[in-house]
Amino acid sequence: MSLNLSGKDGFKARPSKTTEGPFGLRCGRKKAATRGWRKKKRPERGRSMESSNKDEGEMDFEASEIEYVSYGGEHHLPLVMNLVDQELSEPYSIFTYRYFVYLWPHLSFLAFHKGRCVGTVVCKMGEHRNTFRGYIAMLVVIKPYRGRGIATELVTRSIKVMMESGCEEVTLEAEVTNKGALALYGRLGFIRAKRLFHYYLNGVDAFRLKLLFPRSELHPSLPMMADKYESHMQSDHSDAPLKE
Amino acid sequence: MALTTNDSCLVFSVTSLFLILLIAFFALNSNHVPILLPVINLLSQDLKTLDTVKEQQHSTLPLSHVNATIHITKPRHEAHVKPRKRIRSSLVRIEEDLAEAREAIRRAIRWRNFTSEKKEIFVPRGCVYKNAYAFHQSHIEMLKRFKVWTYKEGEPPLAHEAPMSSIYGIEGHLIAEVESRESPFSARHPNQAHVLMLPISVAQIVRYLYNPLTTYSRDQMMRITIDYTNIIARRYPYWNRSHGADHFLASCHDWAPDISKEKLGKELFKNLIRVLCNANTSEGFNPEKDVPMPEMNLQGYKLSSPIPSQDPNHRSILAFFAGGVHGRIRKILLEQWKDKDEEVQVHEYLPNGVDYHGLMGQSKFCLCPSGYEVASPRIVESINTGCVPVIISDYYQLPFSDVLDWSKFSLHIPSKRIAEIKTILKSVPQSKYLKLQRRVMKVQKHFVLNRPAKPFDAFHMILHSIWLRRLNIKLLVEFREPKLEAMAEDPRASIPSADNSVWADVSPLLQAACRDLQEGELIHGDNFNLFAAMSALEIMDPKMDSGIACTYYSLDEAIEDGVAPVPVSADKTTDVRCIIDIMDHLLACEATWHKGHSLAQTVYSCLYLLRPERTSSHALLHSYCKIISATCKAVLSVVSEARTHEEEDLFTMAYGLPLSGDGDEKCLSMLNAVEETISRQLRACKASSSKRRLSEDIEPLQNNPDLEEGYCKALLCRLRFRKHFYHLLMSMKRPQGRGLELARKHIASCISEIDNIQKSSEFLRANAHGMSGQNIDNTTASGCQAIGFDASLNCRLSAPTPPRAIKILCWEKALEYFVKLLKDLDVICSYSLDPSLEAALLFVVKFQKSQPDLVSRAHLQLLLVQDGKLYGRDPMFSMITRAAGLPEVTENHDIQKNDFMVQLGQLVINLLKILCTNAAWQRRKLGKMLQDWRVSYVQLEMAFKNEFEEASKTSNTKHILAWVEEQTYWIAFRFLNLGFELELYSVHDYCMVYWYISVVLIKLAEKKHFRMAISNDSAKRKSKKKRDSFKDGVFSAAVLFLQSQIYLAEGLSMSWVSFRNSPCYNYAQLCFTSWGVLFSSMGMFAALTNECRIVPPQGPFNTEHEIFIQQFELLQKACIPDNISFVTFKESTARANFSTLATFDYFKEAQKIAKEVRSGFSNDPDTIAELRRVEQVAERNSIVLNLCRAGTLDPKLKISFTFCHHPFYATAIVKRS
Repeated sequence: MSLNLSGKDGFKARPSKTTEGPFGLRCGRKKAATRGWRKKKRPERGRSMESSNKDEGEMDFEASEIEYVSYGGEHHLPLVMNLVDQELSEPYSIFTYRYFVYLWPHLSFLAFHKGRCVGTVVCKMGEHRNTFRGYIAMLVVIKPYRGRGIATELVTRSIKVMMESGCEEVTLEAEVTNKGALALYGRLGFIRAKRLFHYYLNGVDAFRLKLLFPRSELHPSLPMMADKYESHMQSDHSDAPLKE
Repeated sequence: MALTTNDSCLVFSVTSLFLILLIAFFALNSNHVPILLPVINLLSQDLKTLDTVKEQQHSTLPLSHVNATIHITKPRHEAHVKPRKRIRSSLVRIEEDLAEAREAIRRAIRWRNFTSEKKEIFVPRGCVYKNAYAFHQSHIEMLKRFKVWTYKEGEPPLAHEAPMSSIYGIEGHLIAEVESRESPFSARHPNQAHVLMLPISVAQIVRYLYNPLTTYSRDQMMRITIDYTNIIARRYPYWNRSHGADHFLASCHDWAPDISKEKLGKELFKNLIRVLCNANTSEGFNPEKDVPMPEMNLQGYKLSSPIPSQDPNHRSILAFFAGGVHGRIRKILLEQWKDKDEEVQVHEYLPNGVDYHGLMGQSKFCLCPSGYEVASPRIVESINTGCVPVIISDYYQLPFSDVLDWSKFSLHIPSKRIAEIKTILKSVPQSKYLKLQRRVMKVQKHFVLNRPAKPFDAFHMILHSIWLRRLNIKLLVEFREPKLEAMAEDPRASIPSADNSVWADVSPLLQAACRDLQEGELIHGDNFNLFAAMSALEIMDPKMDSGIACTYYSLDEAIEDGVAPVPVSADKTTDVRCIIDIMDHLLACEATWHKGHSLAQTVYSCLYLLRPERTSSHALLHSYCKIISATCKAVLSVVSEARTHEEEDLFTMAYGLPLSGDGDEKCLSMLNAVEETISRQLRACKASSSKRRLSEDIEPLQNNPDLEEGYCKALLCRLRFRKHFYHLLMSMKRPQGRGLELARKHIASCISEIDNIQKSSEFLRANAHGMSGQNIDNTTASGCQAIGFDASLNCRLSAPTPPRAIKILCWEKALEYFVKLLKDLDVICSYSLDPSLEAALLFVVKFQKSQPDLVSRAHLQLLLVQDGKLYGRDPMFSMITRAAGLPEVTENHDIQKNDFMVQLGQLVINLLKILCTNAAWQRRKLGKMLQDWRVSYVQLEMAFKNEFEEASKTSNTKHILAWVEEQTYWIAFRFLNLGFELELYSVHDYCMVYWYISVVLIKLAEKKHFRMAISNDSAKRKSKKKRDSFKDGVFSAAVLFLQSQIYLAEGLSMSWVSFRNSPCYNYAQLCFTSWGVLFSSMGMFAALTNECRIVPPQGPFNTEHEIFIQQFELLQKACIPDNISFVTFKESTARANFSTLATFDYFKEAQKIAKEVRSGFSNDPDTIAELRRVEQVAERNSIVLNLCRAGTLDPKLKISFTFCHHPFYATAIVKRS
C-alpha cells in the first residue's frame, strides 16, 4: 500500500481504513433523560481524500463524468434516503430527511455517475445565537467513488450557497476517529472548535468543526465591555436544535 | 409535502409537535399495520400516545387513555325522559369511578404491582398476558366497580332467552348470567350502570323467525333489533346520551354481525359494543369497540372445562382435525390432508365410537380452521385438552386478544400455507412446543365456563373485554343551563384551561390531515424544528426502537422461563460456581457503568438485582446483591451531587431501578454474617485434614471437599472487596476530609483483595465446566457466562431513544479499572488537607494528568468544595487573600463584604469544580469563564477605586487585582494547553497556538512577578528580614520580559538567572524551562511555515486570519491579553527562518537551562520528570532543526510531529520518503 503524502496535510495521513463509512448527521438522543431531549448528531464518517489505495470495487471514471445536481424534488428523496440508509449504521425517519430537503432544497446536492446516484450532501442554515450559520447534516459518497474529490465538490457547492446566502459560519460534527472527514474539512478551512465527550451512541467523542467566513468590516479585538457581558449571558443558554 | 398551518387558529398548548408527528405517524401506519387495539393502548405503555390522536376532545388529562369522548350533544325534550339533572350527576359519578379505575391501572403498570382490597387468590403473571399488571388491576377494578343493566323490555323467546347448548350456547349462558339477580355485576338501577345490555338474542331470532329457512335476507333480524333499540332510546335517556357507546349486544350466531350491515343498522349501531363469536375484521368487526367471544360447543348443557389428557411428552399425533367441509379453508385443508398422513390426522367427521376429545388429548397440535365463518369451537376444545391450537383463519380476531398474547400459546398458519402444515409444525422445536403447551395449560383457566361465574373464567373474561371497551371511552357531561348555551357552542369553553393555555378542538383538523397526508409526510408548524423531526422514532425498526422486544417482553416472563433461578442450581457446587460468575460479571458491569454507560443496561441487567426480594432465601447471593445496589446508590449520589458528569450524564440515569432503599447499614451486617460463615467453612476445611472434630458442626459450603478451600477463598476475597469498597465510599463521604485516613486503609484492603481475586482465577478456570480456552471477552474469572443477566429487558427503561449498544468490559479490564480507580482515590486521600489555593489548583491539574474517570473526579470535587469552603475548612475569602499575599489583617475586612469579592469567591469555587470535569467539558467551561474573570477584574478595579481610595488601602486592593489577573492568565494557559490534549489543533495551527501560549505565558509570569513584587514590598515594610536578593530579581525580570520578546534566547536565559535567586519560586523556574522549548517550538513552526515545509491550508473560503479569530475567539473577547491580534502574530513570526534559528538555537538553550535547573528540584520527582520530558523534546527538535538546515532544499525530507514526549510540546520527526 503506497501512501501519498504530498497532500497538504500529509503529516497525519495514514492508510485509510476500509471500515470507514460515509459521514452524516447523528440523531443522538443520549441525554434525553436529564435535560430534555438533547440534540446529537450521527457520526460523520468519511474517507480521506488523499488516500490513493484502491478498493477492490473501485470505479474507474473521469472526474468530468460526475454530474452534480441540486436537490430537485420528491423524485430525489428516495435516492438520498437510500444512499444515507445504506451507508450509515443508524437510520433516520423520513421526517428528518424531509425536514432538510424541503426547507433547504438549494443546500442539498446529489452526485450522479452515468445515471447512478453516487453521493449526496444535505444541509440546513438558520439563526443560531445571533449568528446566521450553515450546518452540514449528512455527507455520503458510496465506497467505489471515494477518494476522488466528489465529497469535496458536494460540500463546496453547499458551502458556496451558504456563503452567498449570508451565512457567517458553517458547522458540523465529526467523529474524532474519522480522519478522512477531518482532513477533508481541514482543507476547506474548518477548525476543531470543541471536542464533545462521548457524543455518539457508540461512545466515541466528536469534534465540532467550524468554518468562519471572512468579515472585512468587523475586527474582533477591543470589544466593548457591555458586549462581552451580553455575549457571555447568551452563551449560557442554548437553543433547541443544536445544543453542544 | 409540508403543510404550513400558519394562519390556523390552533393553539397547540402542550404537545403540538407531538400531535403533528402522531398524525403523520398514524397516517403512515394505518396503511399497513393492523389496527392497533384500543385495549392494547390501555395495556401497553409504549403505545399510549397513539390514542391522543384519536381522542376527539381533550379532557383535562392530555395523555389520558380515553380513546373516544362522546359528547352529549342534543338536549332531549321527550316526555319520557327522566329528570336530566339526576342522570347527569350519576354520569359524573360513573365517570369519576372509571377515572379512578384508569388511574389504578396506570399505577399498576407503572409500579408493576397491584392494589386490591380483597385477598387475591389468582395473580396473573407471565408472558401469556400482554401486560399482566394492567390486566390484573383492570380485573380487580372490574370486580370492584363494574355494573351492567339489562333492559327489561322485550319478551322471550326473542329477548331475555337464548340457546344454552350447542355451538351458540355461550350466548344463552351469557345473557342469563348477566340478567341473573345474583350476579355481582348487575346494577340495581340503570343510573348506576357503566354499560347497558340489549337482551336480544340473534340466535333465537334465527331459530324462530327463519324456520323453515326460506330466505337469507337479514331484514327481519335487523328490524327487530332496530325496533327494540328505538323503543329503549325513546323510553330512556341512556342510548341517546352516548349514541349507544355504552350499550352492548351479545351474540354468538354467525349472522349477528349483520345487524349493523345495512344502512339503517350501520348508522344506529355504529357505537354499539357488539359481543360476537364471529369476529371477522374483514366483515366490519372493529376490535376497538367490539368484543370477540369464544365459541364453545356445549353439549347437553355441559359447561366448558379442562379435559384430562396426555402428558405433552407422550402425545403421539402431531396434528389433528375432524370436521365437516364447511367453507373455503376447510375444503383446502381436507383436499390436501384428509386421510393422507399418519402424523397429520385430518378427518371428515369421526366414525362413531371414536373419542374426539380423546384424540385431541393425544395430539400435540390441533388444527382450528375457519368454518363457514372464522370462529370455531375447536380453539376452546383444544385448549381444554391441552393441545396447542393451530389457528388457520384469516381476519379472525381471537377472543380475549385484548389481554392474552395468543402468539405465546398458539400458532397461526395463514390459509395460503395449508400445504406446508406438516413442515411448519415439524420445524417447531420440542422445547418451543413444550413452552407453548405449558402456556396452553396456563390459559385454560380463562376458557372455563362456570355458573355462577368466577373470577378470571370465560364469563369474567368476556365481561372484562366489555369493561375495557367502556374504560376506553369517556362520556362528557355538559351542563346546559340556558345562559351557558352560547358558551357550550364554543368547543373551547367545555375544556378547562389553565396556565393561560387555550384548548381547541383539533380533531377535525387531524382527521382532515390524516386523509390528506401520504405516508411519510409531515405538517410543518412554525415551531417544528430539527429536534422535532429527529424525535420521531420508527416503531418496530430495530435500529430505532429500543422498546422492541428481544428475548423477553417482561422481567416476569424471563423469570418464569428460568433465566434467573434461585438458587442458581440445586447442586451446591454448581450453585457456588455460578454465583462467583455472577459476582464477576457484576463487577465488570459496574466498571462499564463507571465508564459512562447507563446503570439500567449494565449493573441492572442482572435480574437478581431487579427483583431483590427473590434472592432473600439465598444469603450469599442476597447479601452480594444488596451491597452492590447500596454501592451503586452511594456512587450515584456522589456523582450527581458533584455534578462533574455534565457530559457523562448517562451515568446518573437510574429511574425505575430498585436501588437499595432500606437501611444501607443492614447490607453490611448481612455481608459480614455471610463472610463470617464462609471463613468458618474455610477454617473447617483446612482443619479437616488434621483436626477432624472441628468441622463436624459446620456444614460445608458445597459438596466437593477437594474444591471447598478454593471456592471459599474465591468467595471471601470477592465479599471482602465489596465490604471494603463500600466502607471506602462511606469514609470518603465524611465532612471536611475526616475520613480520608480510614479511606486509605480500605483502599489498601481493596487492592489486596483484588489481588486475591486475580489469583483465584486460575482455580476457577480449572474448575469451570463447558468452557474451553481463554476468551478475551470473558467477563468472569472462570470464563463461563454468568447466569441471570439480560440487558435487553431494560432497554425500554431508557428514554425513547435509539438503542445504544453496550459492550461490557472484560474481567481483566474491569479489575484494571478498579485498581486505577482505587489508586486515583488514594492520590486524593493522601493529599494535604491544608493546601494553599494555588497548590490545590495545581494538584487538581496534576491529578487530571492521569486521566481519572468520572467517579474519582466526582469524589475529589466534593472533597475540595464543601459549603463554599476548601475541604469544608477554609472560607474562600481567606484562601484568596492568602493566595494574593495579603497581610494577615483582613479578617472581617470591609473588602470581604464587597459584592464583587463574594462574586470572586464564587468564581474560584467554580474554577475548582470545573477543573474536576473531563477535559472536553473543562476546556469549554474554562473558555467561557475567562470572560467572567475579566469582568470580575474590571468590576473590582472600579469598586476599589470608588470605595477604598480614601481608605488608603490601595496596597490590599492591588494585591487582589494582581492575583485576579494572574489567575486569569493561568486559566488561559490551561485553556490553550487542553487544546493539545483534546487534539483540537491541526499542524498548521501549531505556530499560532505556540505563539499565543508564549504571549500568555509572558503575561502570566509578568503578573506573577508583579504580585510577588508588591507583596514583597509590603512584607518588607513589615519585616526587614525578608530576602534582599529578591528585589534585584524582580526588577530585572520585569525588564527582561520585554527583552525576551525581541531576543528570545537571551531573554530566556537572563530571566531565568533572575529567578534563580528566588528559591520560593520553583514553578516559575519550571515555566522558564518550558518556555525555552515553547519559544523554540514556535520558532520552529514559524520557520517551517515560512520555508514552506508546512503549507498552511489555503481553503477556498477563508484565510489564516479567520482561523486565528476562531481559535482564540474566547481569549480575544476577554482581552487576554490586550492589543494582541492576528497582525501582531504575523509580524512577530514573519522573519523566522532556519538561518535565524541557527543563530539562536533555542532548543540548545532550553536544554542547557533544564540541566541547570534540575539540581534545584532533586526532591521533587514530578518536576524532574517534567524537566526530562522538556529536555527530550528540546534535544530531538534540535536535531531535526540541524537536519533541516543541512538539507534545506531536500524536498524528500518529510517532517511530522508527535506528542509522545510531552503532552503539548510537539516532537518533530523527519523521514526520508
